[in-house]
Amino acid sequence: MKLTRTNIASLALAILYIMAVAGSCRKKSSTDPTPEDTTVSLTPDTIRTPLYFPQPIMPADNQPAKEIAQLGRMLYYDTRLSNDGRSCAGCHIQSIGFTTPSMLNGTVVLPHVNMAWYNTFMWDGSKTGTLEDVMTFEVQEFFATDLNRINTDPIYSSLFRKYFKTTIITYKHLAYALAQFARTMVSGNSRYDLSLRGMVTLTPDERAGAELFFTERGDCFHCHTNPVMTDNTMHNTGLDSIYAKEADKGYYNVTHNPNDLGKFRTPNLRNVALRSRFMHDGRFSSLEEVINFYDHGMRKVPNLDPIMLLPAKANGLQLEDWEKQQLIAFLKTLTDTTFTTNPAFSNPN
Amino acid sequence: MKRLQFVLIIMVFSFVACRKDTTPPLASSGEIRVAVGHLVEGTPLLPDSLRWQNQAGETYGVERLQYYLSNFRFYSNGKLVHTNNSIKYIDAFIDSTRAFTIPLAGAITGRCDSVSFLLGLDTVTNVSFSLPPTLQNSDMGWPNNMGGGYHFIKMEGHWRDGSALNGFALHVGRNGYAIPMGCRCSMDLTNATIRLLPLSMNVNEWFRTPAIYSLSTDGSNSMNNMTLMRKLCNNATDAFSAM
Repeated sequence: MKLTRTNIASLALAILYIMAVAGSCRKKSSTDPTPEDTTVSLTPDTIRTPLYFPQPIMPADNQPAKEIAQLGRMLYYDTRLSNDGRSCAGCHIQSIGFTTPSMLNGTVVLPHVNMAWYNTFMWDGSKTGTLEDVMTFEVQEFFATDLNRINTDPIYSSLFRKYFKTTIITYKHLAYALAQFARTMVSGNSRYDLSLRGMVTLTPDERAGAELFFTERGDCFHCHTNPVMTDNTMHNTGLDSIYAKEADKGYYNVTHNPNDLGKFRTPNLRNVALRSRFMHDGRFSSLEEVINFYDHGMRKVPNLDPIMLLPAKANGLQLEDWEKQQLIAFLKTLTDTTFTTNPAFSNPN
Repeated sequence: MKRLQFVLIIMVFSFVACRKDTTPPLASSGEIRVAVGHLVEGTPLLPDSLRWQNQAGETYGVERLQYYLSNFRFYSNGKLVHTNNSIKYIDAFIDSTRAFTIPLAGAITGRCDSVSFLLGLDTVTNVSFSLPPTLQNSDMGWPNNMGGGYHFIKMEGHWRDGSALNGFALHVGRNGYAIPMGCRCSMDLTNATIRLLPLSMNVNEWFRTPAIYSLSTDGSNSMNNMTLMRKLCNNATDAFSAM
């Protein structure tokens, strides 16, 4: 064939056409939608944000959808997430605010509550970022979930294919579903919350306790910031002067900075009255013991939080007995029974 | 053949239409990029480092330093040339909070030779839960039980009194206690695209003039102590300079 300019141009166009057609015929990846998927549309959801709460932390690539949160709920209660019969819910029991009276490896289990407002996790702050990040740790390292087991389950296989448009379930998919469920676990209907909305009036003792909590007298609010009740930050509150156990070193185990010895993440006080163990190692078993510690039990260590070394507090809060009872009365107003009984957070099976 | 030529002409025009516009941008698209540094007498402030000495001769270290800057005003020969009322949260030890931009709207000409701003919030803004609902703003809340609004600054750390180690918490808030700051600078804003404004806080200025602030004799906890908050406000007005 004679190569005229017209023929060359035609040949070039033909090559481009073939390349375009070939591109459209490439092999489907595991994340390509299947014909079945096209019939599934996710229902956008919003995270309930109680009055005065900040905006929840939500990554752009895991926007809330009702179906995915439900899938996360199934996983939360599924013992197959671990290889030894444990599930998230095994240690995070709804009726007591998603924690447990039991210890886990010598450590108190932190409650799963309002985690949509967390950017640090674990007592020692060893996990930072989003719920997706910490849930990835949970399935990949803590549980070491057997992905083959999940992938061969016909229900999970179908649901992940529909919602995540994937034929292969990965740790990321599990973590994203769990994160979505965890983000829905919002506690914001306690008596304290209702009082902020003008729906109930606190008793005189509860109000007096709030006055202690939110003023310099008790000075709880600088770490247990309103309304989330944690500042997501590490503090040394004078629990120990000698760090006998590795776990007692807290944030130091993450940074290896001596200034971080004995620092722990501020625990969330939501539903605190339902707990029976306090501090990272569960050394206290009642709110009275905790308050007595802040009243006169702190150890003056070099990196004790500056707030706790102020002149009026250098020897503890020195509260009167009736002030301690008022403080406890206020802490009890943080109990939210609509959270601990909400069927939307219960075992779906 | 003619068809092919037509396609080629269209392609050439397409490329021409997409070339980069080299026309000088208008001033209204410019911005001032502010970078905030924290020093003690010229040495970068390090967290939790018990090595600084204030005018009272006390050795101290800063563990937390968080505050708001707001109400920016830019001047040329005493004449106001630009206003920006945005509110910036700064954490001295979180890099991402120490840099921000101020957009330059409208035609601005001349050399900006000074800038003023508030450390803290004006009375309109200093209302509980009025700022955007971020975790940072939530943590800066000043409880309603103590007057409401926000902490304007939290500066906390340790200090030595002889051999004894103590804490300090210099917190300032409440209406009437926002601190007017000002400093000289030099920026030509004419047809500005990007101008840099490096601000620097000398932490020692909080303890120096017009009255020496002693953690020992004045007090180490200023929250809601009007006398101490006022003394800190008076001292801090010259804490910032434009480097």
